[in-house]
Amino acid sequence: MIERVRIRGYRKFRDITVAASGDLNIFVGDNESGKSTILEAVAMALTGRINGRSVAEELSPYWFNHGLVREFFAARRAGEQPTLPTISIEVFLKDEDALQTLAGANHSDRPVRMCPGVELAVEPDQAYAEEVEQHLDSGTGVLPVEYFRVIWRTFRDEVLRARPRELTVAVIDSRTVRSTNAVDYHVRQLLHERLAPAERAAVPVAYRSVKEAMTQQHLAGVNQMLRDLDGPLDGHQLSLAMDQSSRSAWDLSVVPHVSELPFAMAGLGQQVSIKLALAMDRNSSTARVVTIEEPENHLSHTSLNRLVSKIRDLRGENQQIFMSTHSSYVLNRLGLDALRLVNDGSTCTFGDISDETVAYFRKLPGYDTLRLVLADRVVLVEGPSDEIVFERFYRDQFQRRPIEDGIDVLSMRGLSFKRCLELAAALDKRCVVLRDNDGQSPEVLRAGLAHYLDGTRREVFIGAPSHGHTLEPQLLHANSDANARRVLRITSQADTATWMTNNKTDAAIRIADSSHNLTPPEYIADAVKFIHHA
Amino acid sequence: MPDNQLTLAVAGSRKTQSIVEACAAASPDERILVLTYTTANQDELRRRIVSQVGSRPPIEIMGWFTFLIRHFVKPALPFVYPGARVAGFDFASDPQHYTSNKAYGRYFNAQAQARRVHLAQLATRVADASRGAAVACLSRIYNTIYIDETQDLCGYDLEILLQLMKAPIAVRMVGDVRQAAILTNDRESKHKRYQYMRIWDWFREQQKKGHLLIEQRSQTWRCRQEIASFADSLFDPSWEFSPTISVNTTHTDHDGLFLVREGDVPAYLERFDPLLLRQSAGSAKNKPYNFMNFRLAKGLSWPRVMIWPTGNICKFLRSGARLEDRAAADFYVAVTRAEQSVAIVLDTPGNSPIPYWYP
Repeated sequence: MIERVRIRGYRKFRDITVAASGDLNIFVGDNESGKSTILEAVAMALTGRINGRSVAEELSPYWFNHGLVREFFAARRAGEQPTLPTISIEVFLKDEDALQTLAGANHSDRPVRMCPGVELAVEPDQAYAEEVEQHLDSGTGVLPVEYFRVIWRTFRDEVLRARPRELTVAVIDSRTVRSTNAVDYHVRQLLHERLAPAERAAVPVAYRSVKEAMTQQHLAGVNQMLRDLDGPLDGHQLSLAMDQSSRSAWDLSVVPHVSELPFAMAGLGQQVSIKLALAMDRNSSTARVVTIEEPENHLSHTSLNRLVSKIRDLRGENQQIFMSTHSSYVLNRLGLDALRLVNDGSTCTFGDISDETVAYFRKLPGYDTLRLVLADRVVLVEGPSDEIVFERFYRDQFQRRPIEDGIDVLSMRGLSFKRCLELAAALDKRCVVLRDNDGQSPEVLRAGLAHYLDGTRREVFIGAPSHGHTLEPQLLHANSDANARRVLRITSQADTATWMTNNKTDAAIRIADSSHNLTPPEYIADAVKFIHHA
Repeated sequence: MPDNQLTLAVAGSRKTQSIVEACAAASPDERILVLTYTTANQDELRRRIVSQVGSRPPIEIMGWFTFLIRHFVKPALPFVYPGARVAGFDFASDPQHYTSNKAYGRYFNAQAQARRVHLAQLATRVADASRGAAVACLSRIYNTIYIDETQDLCGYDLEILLQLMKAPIAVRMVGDVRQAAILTNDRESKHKRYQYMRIWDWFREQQKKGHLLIEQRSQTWRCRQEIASFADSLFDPSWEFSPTISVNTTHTDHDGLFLVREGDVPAYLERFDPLLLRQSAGSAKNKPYNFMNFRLAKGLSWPRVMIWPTGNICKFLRSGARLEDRAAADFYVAVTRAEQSVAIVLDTPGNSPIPYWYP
């Protein structure tokens, strides 16, 4: 099991430590936040491969952290002697007996201690120090990666040449799923692992002899004919034979079939499901790490539902899943407690979320939890009309829409304020709750939420019961009837309060669109001020 | 305490084979490491284990230096020198007498290669600095460690050995101090008084402290009784070695010990075709025969052996004057190569009771 991953100098990450939880880790974040990079780094450090090829073959100058590279060249131009940027991905594993063959003190943890783990490092090759200097003196702004070497080693300082047998790693990325050659390196790896050791030797031998037989028997006629061919061959023999080189190894000709259809012809959802079924094995005794990139891609809602059920079913003691997602559905269903928020090259984990809250959102997979998770500041309101009216009052005061200040207004539509607030508190979000008093005392209502409030980052605002139970009477209490009628554009025959109650959303839209301002009720004004300054 | 054991066994008692058989009998879950110093013996162990143990999770066979590097120095070096790594192995460096025990330069050359002469000391320092973590890790990888030719160990090797014996690993050692002819590091001054045959003193002390049990195996499958008893007589009784018992019952027309006059050597060679042994290239100079040096013959078994004695061996034969430890060990190796007969080239017999062979 992975305990922690430290990534230094790789892509977005100058230096980041990602703590992993036992069985499930879901990374969420905005586009370009680096969630895929984390999965990529984990897979790279555990398999020594990326995109099915060795890391050394794929090494590119753009892997190095842009900031570090820029600073390096700036320092050189300033006449300093900075050290070249390097990359290090360290995977710290749990201190289990079976992993001791990977245990040592060659890692960046201080104080020095023995612990199992692997590192993938990219460092300048000292043998080429002169060439590197020459290259850098040529005024380039790009690192000469051809003089760098990729070192893949355990914390014992033993060089790795193949994936350590103590760990099984399965990589499910949506890129290869999308490609035409669906049976990629990772699928082949998964198939190989399913073979018993004896079969692993017997299958290639059998395949070779089948090809040999093809050559001997069925190509004999053609070869007979070719032998008599007298052309521009200068006496050299031409014949046909089956390719026996490793380019045509058996596993390249074997394709998994789904209901007798070749794997590549199966739907994308099915392909992902099959990969998952191959990758995850609840009964497996060896530790398995599975990385899954955005499983929601190209899946219909129903297939996604099936897929998520499968992932939940296959979660087991020795499996550890690392997943990135854009989907609140996936996140809610698999459990908010597995959430890792990736933000601008750093990650943060949740404080403790109660099991009840995790269960609550699991039952509401459609709720847009990610909006709450990814927002900078959040306003939780009762419903759409509160949302619209809040936006208007905010704009009246600051001449900007809340979203332009990173404030996302979410209407609860009957969901529990408490659960959402718990989530916001666990993420330490700045958040205000704006709610109806429904005839109850604000003090009593606030007491139920007080655990998550601190008065500086999170607060709840509730109108005085004497000013009305819901938004509409509160608005009327704060404004003259004449002003309200002007904003709402209703005739003198209609009763303002009744009309507003019967046309809540309409009323809110008219308020939002009006060229005249309403005075906000005190609790809304306070909420606007609070979240703006929070 | 785990059952640590030293089997002190005489020449020809199938020491190496006992390790191979123990491996074959071990449960498949048992994780086993087999250690020995010389590469020749590693190859022999590997060959026999592959052919005799059959399919089971692999048994690792490793040289002593490789063991020190892979299980102590490499994994735990940062405890002593954070950030340092081992770039290779330096076989040739001289002892760094004037470099302090703490200095990096004592243990590594300019290319960051670990110096062989101080490898075991470095391993000990690293193990100590890890406060037992290195050995603890080792004990979680292996249940049992076999060490063949344990008498080759010396100096700081003994410190490592002691840590292994104190750890929850079963350490099974076999060896024969009577054949203590080579050392992992003869230029190490640590524990100098336990070098070569004197490692026997160290083992007996460890037994007294309760770290291991010593078992003497005194049955030889190779040498006839006359030869075995003569070999025993090379050592003072104060060593407390059990007398060797021969189970070789083969009879020929020429069994036991013989003296041969130098003039009769060609006839003897012609007649018996023995393995012809000498102490070293420096002894038995200018003789027109094909010799093998004593130490090189270690591990070999031959029906008949002829020995060209050193001056000290001659003195021992004539008057019973004790050989010093290493000379005795070398001569013991030479004598115990023989199954049926040992002939020693000697023109003046002194008080020797050994009969002459005449053509």
